[in-house]
Amino acid sequence: MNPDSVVCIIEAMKVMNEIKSEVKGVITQILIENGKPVEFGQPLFKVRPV
Amino acid sequence: MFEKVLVANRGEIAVRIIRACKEMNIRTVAVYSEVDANSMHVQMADEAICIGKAASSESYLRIDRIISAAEIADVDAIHPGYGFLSENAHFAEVCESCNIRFIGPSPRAMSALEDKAVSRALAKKAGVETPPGSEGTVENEKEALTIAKKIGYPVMIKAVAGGGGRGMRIAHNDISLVKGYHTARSEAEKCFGNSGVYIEKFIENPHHIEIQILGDTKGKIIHLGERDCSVQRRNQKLIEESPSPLLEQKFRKLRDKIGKAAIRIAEAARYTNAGTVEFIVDDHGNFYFLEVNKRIQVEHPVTEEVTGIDLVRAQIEIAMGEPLRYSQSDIVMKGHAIECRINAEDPFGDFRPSPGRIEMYYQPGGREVRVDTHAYAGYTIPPTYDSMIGKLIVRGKDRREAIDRMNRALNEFMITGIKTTISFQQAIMQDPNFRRGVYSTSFVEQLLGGARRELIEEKT
Repeated sequence: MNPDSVVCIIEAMKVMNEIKSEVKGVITQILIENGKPVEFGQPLFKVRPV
Repeated sequence: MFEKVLVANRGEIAVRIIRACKEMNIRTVAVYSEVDANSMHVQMADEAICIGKAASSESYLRIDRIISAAEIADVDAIHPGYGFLSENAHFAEVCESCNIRFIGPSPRAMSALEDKAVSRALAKKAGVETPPGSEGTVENEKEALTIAKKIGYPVMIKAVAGGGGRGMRIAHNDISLVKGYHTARSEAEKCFGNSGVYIEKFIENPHHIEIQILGDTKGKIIHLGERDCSVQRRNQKLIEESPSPLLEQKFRKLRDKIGKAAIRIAEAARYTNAGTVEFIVDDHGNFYFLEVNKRIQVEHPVTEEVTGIDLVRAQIEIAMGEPLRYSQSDIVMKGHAIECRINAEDPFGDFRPSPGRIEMYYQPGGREVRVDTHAYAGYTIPPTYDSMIGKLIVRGKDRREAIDRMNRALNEFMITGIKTTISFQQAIMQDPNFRRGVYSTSFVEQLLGGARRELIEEKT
């Protein structure tokens, strides 16, 4: 992924928020499950910067 | 008479309906999703039944589960509130077939008004104008030019499959029309895989004005004046007021005309119960029919405050088969009412949603101040539903008094733990154009883009 690549969508209060990558890199692990709630500050992905 | 009513909703409107029922000595049944177990409506109702998981598709939108709950609790009627199943004709039909009264319009009237083409035809039959434009898609330049000439510039070229401003162009003359026609088509093709476009009159500085109506089952329909809902952000209403400053200051004769037009449309649809007929009004006093909202609306309290009529109570009475207790001549608008929607959003962070636990909660009081909310200290606002957590409504003897009272009440309102739009509403109350009553649907956009941002001070 590149900076500004959309990595996931977080839905909050009926609003779809595109979450963009801040770095150039490779996702090595996905820490969350599709459709499951997440909290503020919770890590979503492990990334190896390139 | 109803002895027991099920409220098929949540949040402030469920609370509002339960309150009306209590005042009429009707027992209430709340339904709720797992995440709403601590919500106010669950605590206020006489009985409460859990109908599924947090997602509305697994709870508040499940017709089978709501009907089961209604059967178990043995209710006489269901009040759908707004949103969710409130305008679902099929749901209304299922209720009737289970011998449960649906507190809203008949399924037939609902289906008729749901269809854009049918409701436009109804308006036409009732002699009410709809925004002028092409009948269906425009196939070539020549046709586009003919239509533009007929309806007059400026016009809007819109993609049939469109949304979010894409595939949309405004044209002020023949040259920009031809250019806009082609770019809109190619953009629509790229974005939506459908190059179809239609042309509609572009209304400059539009005002969103709606008429509240009530119709009983005997065929009597009255209107309760207008609400001006032009203060919007991305098509979401933020502030509503009654009467409309535009009608009060510029077009005094229009109220009667629009009110009568609304009644004619409702009559043509054989409408019953509470409803709202939406219009768009331009700077010259031309008005066009948009659609009918077939439910109680979020902003109904401003009409209640100026007319003194309890609309939810009226809905229940109509559903019980009672004739309307008022005639058109009984409806007098007294003073001025304003409503501010309080949303759990961050006005300093692009209005990002801000769910979470409310730490401290103190609501304003005093003369002519009303708060409709389901929020309280210690309540956790789930991220699942919409961001509106309450409505602040004030009344004054005139618009100026109402604005000053709203400003005072917003200042008193303290909510901590989450971000809210209170400070943004204060900025609007202090805006000179809003205070003068000079605003259109582009007001918020102008306010946010303009130099008035410094007015939005964060409350500590």
